[in-house]
Amino acid sequence: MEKPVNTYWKTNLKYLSILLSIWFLVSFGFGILFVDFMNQFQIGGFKLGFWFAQQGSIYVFVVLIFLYVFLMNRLDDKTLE
Amino acid sequence: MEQQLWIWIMVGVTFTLYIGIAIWSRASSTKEFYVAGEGVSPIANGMATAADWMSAASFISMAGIISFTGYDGSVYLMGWTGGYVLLALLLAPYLRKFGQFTVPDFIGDRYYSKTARAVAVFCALIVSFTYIAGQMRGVGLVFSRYLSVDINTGVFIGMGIVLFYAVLGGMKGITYTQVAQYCVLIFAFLVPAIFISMIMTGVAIPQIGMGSEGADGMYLLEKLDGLHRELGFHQYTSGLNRHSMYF
Repeated sequence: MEKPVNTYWKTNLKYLSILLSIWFLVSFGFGILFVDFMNQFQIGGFKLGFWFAQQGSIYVFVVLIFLYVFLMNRLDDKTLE
Repeated sequence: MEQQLWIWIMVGVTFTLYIGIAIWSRASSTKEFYVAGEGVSPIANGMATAADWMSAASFISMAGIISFTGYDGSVYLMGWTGGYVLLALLLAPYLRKFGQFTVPDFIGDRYYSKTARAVAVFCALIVSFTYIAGQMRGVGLVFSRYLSVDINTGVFIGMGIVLFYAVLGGMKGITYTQVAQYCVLIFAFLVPAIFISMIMTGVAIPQIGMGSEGADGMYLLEKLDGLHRELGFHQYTSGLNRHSMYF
């Protein structure tokens, strides 16, 4: 049986790594590394890679922060029980 | 002359507002000075942080660098904003749990090391210095236009005012001035963006308008690309020397 503190920290790290991978993917990935591939697609007047660099990544950032707060609050409640 | 009068009124009113807030929210203890007595609502804190994002440095330099370097400029946009995610996920929760006032305090206590603390102070200084250099230039620019003085004099006047309300109000004063700044800035950002978008594309939401067609049926971004090519700048939506930069 693991200590609850350990599980808490491990879950935290799991959340962090998932969220930060998304963080990296949308900005560095879609905006810089794969931008030429992404730019083949077009929504409206936007090339997709360009859209991610200028707007999409920022929307995702905001969602990520809210998601982390939500996940950690839930985790806090669960650990305290 | 009438325009000058309007500028005087607008700038005068906003600065009176900021100083008024500083006097009203004077700090009365160390705790109040550094963490605003922990009595600031999350919404107000968020507004203050957003005002930081939209401050003079980003207002002047972000727009400039993106239109000057084209697509390459968007790394600044992503880096600037992406940093907030790192801050919120990796630093803010622990700062809060440990109950420290500043990041160097936290780093020093967490790692039981004076050296780590010194490194943190050094980093904080470098970051603040680069940031404030741009910010002060912006403030100087505003004051030199506003009072028709030399830009250096403008910087000193601006510094004086900021010093006045920062020392007086501490974090509480700064937070509430920033909340006021947020309201002013968001208004100043949105009004031109919405109206330009409406005039050029007929769409009232600028984020969508940017990707829409102009009056002549051509996509706005394509037209912008063409304009930039003709002027010899980098393309707006994709850069040529990008790969040499990142690899």
